[in-house]
Amino acid sequence: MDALAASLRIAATGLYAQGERIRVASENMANANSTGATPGAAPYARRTISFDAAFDDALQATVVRVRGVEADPTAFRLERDPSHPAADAAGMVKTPKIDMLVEMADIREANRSYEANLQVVKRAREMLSLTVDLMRT
Amino acid sequence: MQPVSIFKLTSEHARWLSQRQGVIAENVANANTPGYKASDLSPFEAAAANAQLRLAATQPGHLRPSGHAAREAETAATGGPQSETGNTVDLQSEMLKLGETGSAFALNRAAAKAFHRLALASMRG
Repeated sequence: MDALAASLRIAATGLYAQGERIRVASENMANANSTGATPGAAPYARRTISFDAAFDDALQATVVRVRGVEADPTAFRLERDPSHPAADAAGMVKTPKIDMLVEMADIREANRSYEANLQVVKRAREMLSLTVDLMRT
Repeated sequence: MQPVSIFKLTSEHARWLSQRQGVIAENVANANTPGYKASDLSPFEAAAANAQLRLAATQPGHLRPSGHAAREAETAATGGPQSETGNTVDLQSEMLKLGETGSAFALNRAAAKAFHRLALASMRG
């Protein structure tokens, strides 16, 4: 495959991976206060995404792919709220251990990488159109 | 008379530039992949110098200069300091290289266009 067309595809895998990362971070932020419904039930488990560099045979290049999204069921805080439906015998409620600052920082970094991939797409398109312009005189 | 090799040179340079663009795209896509090492192509000057050195092969035992394709595809690990995840991609320098490659490609295409116009003009007489 043409190297410029391949770089468009490579950048597309980067865009996809960073988009998934923003999705996971926004899931975590949205569920920052999601608790269980029954006494002592486990709350929403914070999710983390991991990336992996993989060699693509069709493109003959190293692309990025999402290795997986893992939930961490052990990460929770205990808060005292006896009137809550999920409160156990001691009046403690399990709430997700989600730090808004950490999630915001993650979204920021994903945003920066997303923009970098967009720049690659833009530049590759410009270069392709320069070659097409050779046919115009 | 020496044949005009400008078109050969510009097309080889363009191929090198698009390959470099591909390598930059790989680096940027893997900017957040743990353990990924950034890479870059060897400079075009090295490939061009290799092309100018023509060895005449008059005997079967003579050495032949190796082709470009192998040399061009050479990549070397570059990049900034390693982060705590083992990733060496530096987005700023990748963006800089992207800009360099883009303007070099524009210059290359302009040169090809100019020489094409020159060739057409000489044919019209």
